[in-house]
Parts: sequence; structure tokens; C-alpha cells
Amino acid sequence: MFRRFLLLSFVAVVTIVLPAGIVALAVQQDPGLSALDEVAHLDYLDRAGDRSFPRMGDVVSDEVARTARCRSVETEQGVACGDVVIPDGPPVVADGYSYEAQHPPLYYWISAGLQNVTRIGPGDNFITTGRLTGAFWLSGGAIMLFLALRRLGVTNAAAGAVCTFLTFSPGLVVSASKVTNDATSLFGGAAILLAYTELRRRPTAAGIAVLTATSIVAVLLKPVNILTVGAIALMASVELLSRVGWRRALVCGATPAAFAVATVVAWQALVEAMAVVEVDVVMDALLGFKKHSDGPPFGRFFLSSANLLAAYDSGRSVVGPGAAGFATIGRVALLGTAAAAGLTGRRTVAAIAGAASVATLVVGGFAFNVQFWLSFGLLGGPAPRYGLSLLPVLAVPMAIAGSRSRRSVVGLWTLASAMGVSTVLGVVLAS
Amino acid sequence: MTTDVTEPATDRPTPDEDTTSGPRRVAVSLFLLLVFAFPTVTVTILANDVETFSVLDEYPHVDVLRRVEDRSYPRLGERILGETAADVGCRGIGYREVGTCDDPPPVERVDATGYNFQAQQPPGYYIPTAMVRQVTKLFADDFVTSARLTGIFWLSGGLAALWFLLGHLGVSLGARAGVVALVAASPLLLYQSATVTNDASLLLLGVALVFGGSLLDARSSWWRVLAVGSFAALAMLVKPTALLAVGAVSLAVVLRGLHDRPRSLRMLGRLALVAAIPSVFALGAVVGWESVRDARAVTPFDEVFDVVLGSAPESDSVTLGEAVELSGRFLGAYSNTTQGGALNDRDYTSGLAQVGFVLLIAGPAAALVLGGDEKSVFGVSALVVAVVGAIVSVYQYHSTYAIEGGAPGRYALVLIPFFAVSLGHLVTHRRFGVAAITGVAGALMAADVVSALAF
Repeated sequence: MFRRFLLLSFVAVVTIVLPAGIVALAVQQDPGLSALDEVAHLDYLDRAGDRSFPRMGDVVSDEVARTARCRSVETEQGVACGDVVIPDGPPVVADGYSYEAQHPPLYYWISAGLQNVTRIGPGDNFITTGRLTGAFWLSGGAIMLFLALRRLGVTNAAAGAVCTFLTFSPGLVVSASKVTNDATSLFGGAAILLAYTELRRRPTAAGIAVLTATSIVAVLLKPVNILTVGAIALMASVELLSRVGWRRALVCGATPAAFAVATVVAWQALVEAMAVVEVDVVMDALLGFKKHSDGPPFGRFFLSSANLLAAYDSGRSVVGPGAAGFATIGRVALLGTAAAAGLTGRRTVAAIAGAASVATLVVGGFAFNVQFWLSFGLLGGPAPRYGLSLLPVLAVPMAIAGSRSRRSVVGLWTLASAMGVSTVLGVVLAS
Repeated sequence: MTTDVTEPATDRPTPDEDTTSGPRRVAVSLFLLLVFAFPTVTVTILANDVETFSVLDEYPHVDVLRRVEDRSYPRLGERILGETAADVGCRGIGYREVGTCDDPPPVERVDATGYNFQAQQPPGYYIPTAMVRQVTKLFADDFVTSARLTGIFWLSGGLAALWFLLGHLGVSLGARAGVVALVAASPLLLYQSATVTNDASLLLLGVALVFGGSLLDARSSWWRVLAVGSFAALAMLVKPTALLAVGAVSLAVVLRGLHDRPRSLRMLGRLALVAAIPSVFALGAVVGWESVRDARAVTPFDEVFDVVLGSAPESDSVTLGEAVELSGRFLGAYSNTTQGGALNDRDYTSGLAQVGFVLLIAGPAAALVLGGDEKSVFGVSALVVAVVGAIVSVYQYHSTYAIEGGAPGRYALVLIPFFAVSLGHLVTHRRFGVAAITGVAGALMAADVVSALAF
């Protein structure tokens, strides 16, 4: 009984207390608005609270623009909101368009609902309560990751270490402590991994349906979560090959991937159909200054093939340069263990997860760059944070190998603790 | 205990690949292609096509080489030769013009008032390079190009040594070829090999030091220990920053010794002494050379470097946060494509090189976190030294030069062979692993050639 209580306490700490704690600390320490489109996300969240959502071409509401400017004034000049006349400046970016209307509303609707909970706490304004919903997303992701790893045979100690290691990833901390649908990265990635553990137990129509439904939800939270769907599809096809034959293995992998792609395409069609201003006009207002006027230089597509490899340490704004620099070690450890497992070429879940996740990050970086070029005329490829949802799959080899001996668990906890201390110190000192 | 990710292969193929004539022909062909053809082609293209001097102090290295060929050696405080200033006028430094070919700058107008600050370096790189240049000058019209072509000797020498070292350590032929290809494809290694700089020697020194380290354990004879220690000291007279690798060797000897679980305190003490001797000898050589350098100087070291580093950001103090921020700097040595040179800004190489680096450090990273067998000790030691060394270098640069930023990442090129050995063990007899590293290495080699040609 007491052991069970201890275990539950341990699980609660690594999946709820630590994730919620680091998000609360980051929200409290870094009030400034994120440059990563936070104003547009705030506008979406504001509308979601009214059970609505923006259409491409809608502009950011006056109230949100005013709140945002007030937040900037408060941060930069130390003047309390309400005591000064907020200047009527030009809209922050993109001619004031609420361009995050390009994303599906699921994250915003759920977060608006969660704001009813975060409002109970000390957060007293719309931005702070919106950001605090990130604690739910990060904790939810950690819980599902813990469950998924346990179903893959990982010990409690190793699963806890990996959850802690990922929780303190600068990339995930930054995403979860701002209003952005990137906050769903761990949640989406871990949910897909958890659904996959069900499929590998029961490679039946029901298992395929669960993984497919989860994949659809994940891409509706944030379309770039499709990367994880791709990695899992690859895993399913390879891992189940010897058990169920190539036809069924292919169906297991291809069905979720096909439905996820169809969902993204359908949503894009819906965005264009509902737009009040042409999508190209809005995106031009947002990204026009980055456009590349020359023809597509083929070599540049290769340049970004490694962008997503830096997902783990992709945030600097909240954790500061010291912790972000130190997190390079975490990135190397994560990628190294995944690649080492993958290079063995064995048919174990660790080896397949390692190879599939690293390959997806590399191919995904290349593919995103091509897509950005074709869609927006942009070069430079995806931001590293787009790879965040793959962290749970990338961490599978580390977790499984970490379960094999006491030395491995100690090593994992040393790494997780080092990243935890570094990120917490970074958040505190960077403010 | 061995963990899942680093477990050795159990599905070893039985044919003895080194004793049949077919595989031997394949081995010889791969060796010639990877160890000689690729370095010769890429270094030749870069040496000829890159007109400007590298911003990484190439012209003072050229100046030292000129003096060595004249049987002399510069002293700190002496200025570069008129011929070198004329070369600077013709070529420029990086994208910066300093005079012209027709109107070369006076020596004092060249950077750092014309001081040859590479007089700080020991002569170990320049003497063999001057000898090799007597051959390469048959293939090039001017001094700088022929001096750059000596990089083929250093790079091919390093790759050949790595090939034989991997064979000596029992790495299969396919894995050996894949690993050597991956190392050869490093953009920064190629660029430094096509530049007149003692960084060109780092691969060869690293391989030799790994070999030396592989000979040491708690039971080694004192003659052997002294021989390895003496070699480590000699390596410092080629490039003092190879001290990083000597530190990694010492750590690897300790880690491997601990795997064997020393039975007595006496054996543990002996192990510590065996491991320490290379580092002590190497440190002694560095300190000894610095004494010689300072005794020969015509202007004190500090005065020369006040001028040389005049524009670098000064550092009043170093915080732990600043040092930790740069802790990953040495880990970028393999994939760095932005250190002022020919492959600079080259789109094809950058992303692929980072993928190659992930494969290179895969085994050591896994073993460091999760535990590995004794075959991973060189890679693990190099990872630890890379991270700790980067942090320590921030403090060392602050105390020596009073500037921010620490040592450049390229100094860690000397650690590449350590990672390569671990990677070799990881993928030996594993077809998928060999195919993966060969695929990435092949793509990166092609990208290197395209980038070099596009310059």
C-alpha cells in the first residue's frame, strides 16, 4: 500500500508537479510577448472564448491589440497597465491580420475552456491565464508519455527520468509558457505514441482506428504534428512486418498517415473557403519581407535538412542563452541514443523508433523547406520547434535502454536533473 | 553492463573478408578512393579556386613556412616578410582587400601592424610541410597554392592512419569504409586541409593519440608508457591544442581500466599513473615551448596579442552562465561550415554535415548517458573532454588574452578520430548501420565537391 502511494506520488511529481511548476515559473518570470506570433494566437484564443474562431483576413481585435501593447509597455517601461494612455500604434505585424486563422480551432477551444480553471489561480489577466493553460498541455503530454513508455516495457524510474528530461527541454518550456498551439507538441506526440502502443499490442482494425483517430486529433491541434504521424507510420510498417505480414503492416502504417494528410488538406481547403481576404494576401503581409525573389536554389533545400534536429534546445527567449547553450548536451544525448539504436538495424522497437524518428526529422526538414518554397516563396526551412512533437518517439530508445541497468537509470536521472537545474536557473536568471 | 543501444552485433557474417582476393580488391579500391582520390580532388580544387587567404590566420602561417624553408624561425614581435605582404596584397584576407597586386601594402599596414603572431606556434607542423612542399611545388606555380596542396599529405595521412587503426581494432571492412568516408566528408576538416595552418595536422595527431591510448593499460610496461607519453609531448610541438586529445586519451585509459575492475589499490594507483603520464608529458611540452617562445621573443607576448586581439570583445570577468552557454561549441567541429572559408555559405553541405555529426557521436552519446562497454571509452572520453574543454577554454581565453568567447570550435577536430573509433565498433558487421553512414557520407562528399566547384 505504502509502495503504491510512493509510486503514485513519484508519477504525480514527474508528470504533473514538475511540468506545471516550470510552466508557472516561466509565465511568472517572462511577461514579455513572444515574437513567435503570440498576438495572433491571443486573438484566436480570445475569439475561441466566445465560441468562435477567426477567418483568414479578419484583423486582430482592438481589445487584444490594446492588451498586447499594454503588456509591452508594462514590460519595457515598468509602467502598470491602466495608469497610462496606451498609444494607438500601427498593428504589430502582418498589417494587423489575425493570421493564425490558418490553424484549426481545436487547441484554442480547449485552451479557452481551460482558462476557466487557470482563472481561479493568481493569474489575473487574459494573457497570463491563457499562458497557464500550457501547464495542462505539458502535464497531459507527460502523463501520456509516461503511460506509453510503461506500455513499451520501460521501468517507472526510467520513464520518470525521460519525462523529466523532456519537460525541461527549452523548446517545450518556451512553447508551453506562451499562448501558441506549439504548446500541444508533447501532448500530440505522446498521444500518437500511446495510441501506437495499443496498435502494436493488437494490430487489428480497432487498433488502427485508435491510432487513426488520435492522429487526426493531433494534426487538428497543430498540423505540423503530422511529422510524428509520419514517424509512427514508418515504425508501424517496419515493426509489424514480421508479425502480421506486409499487407497488414502497410495498412497499419498507411491508414493513420493517409487520414492525417487528408485532414490537413481538408482544413486548408476550409481555410480558403472561409477566408474573407485571400490567403495569399494575408500570408504575403506576414511573410512578404522574407520572400526570395530568385529561382529556387536547389542547394538551399539541403540547408534546412538539419533544422528539426535542434528541436530539443530550440528556445532561447524564456530560458536565456546559458541554459539554451547547455541544452545542446541534452540534444546530443537524445539524438545520439536514437541514432545509435537506429544504426544497429535491429527489429526492436527501440531501434525502429530511433531510425524512424531521426530519419523523419531529416526528411521533414527538407520537405518543409520545399513546401514553404512552393507555398510562400520562402527559403530557410522550418523553425526547429516544428520538430518538438517528435521528441517522445525520439526518446523511446533512451527510455528502453535506460531500463536495462542501475547504471543506465542513474545516467538518465543525472542527465534529466542537469537539464532541469539548468533550465530552472536559466528561466530565473534570464528575466 | 551493455545496454540495448550499444549492444554488439550477434549476427556476424562468417566469410573472412580480408583473406579472399575479391574482398581484398574491394578493400584496396575503397582505400584508394576514400583515402587518396577524394582528398586529392577536393583539396586540389579548394587550393586552386580559393583565391583569398583564410581569415583563420593563413598568411602568418604561410610566412612561418617561408622562413622555415629559409632555415630560420620567426620570433614573437617580428613582422611578416615583404613577400608575404605582397601575397596579402594580391589575394586579400577573406572578403577584405588589403592593397592590390600592383600596389602591395607595406608590412606594417597588414593586420596587427604586420606582426607574425603565429610565431607563437611550435615548428612541428611547418618542418614536414616544408619538406612535402618540395614535391607539391612541382604541381603549382605559386608558393601559397603549393603550400596548401601539402594538406593532401596531412589529410590522406590522417585518413590512412584511421583506416589502419580501425582495422587494428577489429572493425569490419564495410564499417571501416563508411566511417572513413564520413570523416573525410567533414567540411571543416576539408577546408582546414586546404589551408596553410597547423590545424591540418589535427586528424593525423588524433588518430595517432587514439592508437597510443589503445596500447595503454594498468599492466603496460613503463617503456611503453614513456613512449606514448613522449609521443604526446611531440604532438604538442605540432599543434598545442591537440592537448584536448591527450586529455581524452588519459580519461579513456582510466575508464577502460575501471571496466577491468582493478583488484588492488596498487593496481588502481598504477592505472592512474599510466593514464596521467601522457597528459603530464604533453603539458610539460606546452609549457616548455612557451618558455622557449617567450625567451626568443623580441616583443613580449602580451604586447603582441594586445595588438592582434585589439578588436576582439574584451572580457572583464567570466560568469558561469557565459561559460556554460558555449559548452556545446566543440561539438560543432565536424559540421562547421561557417568558419571563414571556401565552404562558407554553401547550402548543400551545412545540413548534411549536421546529420553526419549526429551519426558520428551516436555511440558515445548513448554510452555516456546509459553506459557502454570498453569499446566506447574513446568516444565517451572525447565527449566529456569536448564539453568540459569548451567551458574551461572560456576561462583560459579570459585569463590569457582577456577576451570573451573561448577557443574556436575547430580545435576539436582532433577529437573526430575518437568518435570514429566508437562509431566503427557500433556499426561493425551491421549492414543497416553501414548503409546509413555510407549514404550520408556519400551525399556529403558529393555536396563538398559541388560546393568546392561552385566557389
